Amino acid sequence: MKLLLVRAGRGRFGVAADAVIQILDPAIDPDLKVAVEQGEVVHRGRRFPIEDLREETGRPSVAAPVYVLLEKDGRCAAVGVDCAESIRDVDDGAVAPLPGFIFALPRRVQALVEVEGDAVLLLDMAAIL
Amino acid sequence: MSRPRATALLKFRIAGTEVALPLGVVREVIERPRVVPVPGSHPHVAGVALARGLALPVYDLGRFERLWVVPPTTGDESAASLIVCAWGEVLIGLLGREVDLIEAGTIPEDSGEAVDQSGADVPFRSGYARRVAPGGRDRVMILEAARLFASMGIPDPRVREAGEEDGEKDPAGR
Repeated sequence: MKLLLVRAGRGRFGVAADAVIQILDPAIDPDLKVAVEQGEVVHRGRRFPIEDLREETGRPSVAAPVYVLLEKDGRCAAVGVDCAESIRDVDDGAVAPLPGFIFALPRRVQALVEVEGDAVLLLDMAAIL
Repeated sequence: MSRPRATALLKFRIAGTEVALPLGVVREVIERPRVVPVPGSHPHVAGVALARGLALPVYDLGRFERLWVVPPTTGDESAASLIVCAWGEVLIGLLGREVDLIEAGTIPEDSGEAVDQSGADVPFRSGYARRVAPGGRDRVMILEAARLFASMGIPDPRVREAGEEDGEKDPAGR
């Protein structure tokens, strides 16, 4: 599977690349409007609920986020990250599912995957979208 | 009457306190791998580590408040070793340091003359550890794996029922 690798707070995450529509920076993209109070971004008239990964990694980021817009099966979300790094092709056999009993809150990640010698958390698309 | 059994113990240190586990619970001891913090996990979960293709949950007992009479101010983030335990069908890792194997000879399996339940000088809450003097040596505190792991939310068919009766299904206490 192809993964978009992103950094958010202290973490490095993989996002299923087939669900990624666009990566947008509100500072330079005039078509992206961020409505923090409503918990959504609006891009060309379409609303995307915000899921800010940076708030879930235990280290608040000071810089404004970049948004990864996701869509799958008619559902969508805007994931706030510090930066998008690269796209990597990962063997399905390299994906190690996380045990459910470690979670105290609704899970946002589903597996650990080794990418170029580094362990990366794989986002749970079913939970985020 | 308690039933004696021969056992060996793995001694290690958590949050400055020396403890032990029966060697039968321990699968292996490895150098601490890279531990990836997991958003939304319990506070006592340090993260997960890739080990032989598995996502191994790694626990920091220094951050498991229910274990301690007075919880330590810091966890064991810098611990050098990972004690990999097999519990039912589940593998888990415990952060620890100063790991050593001790021959215990025979110790009582249940409460008995050689066992002191947690007292005023014991840092753990009642039921989480017992003290023994293996082979007449200095006393060591053995963690009660069944109680400890059930409280941490780790599933095991043998202890799940007891954990539910004790209201320990949710280690977050909610």
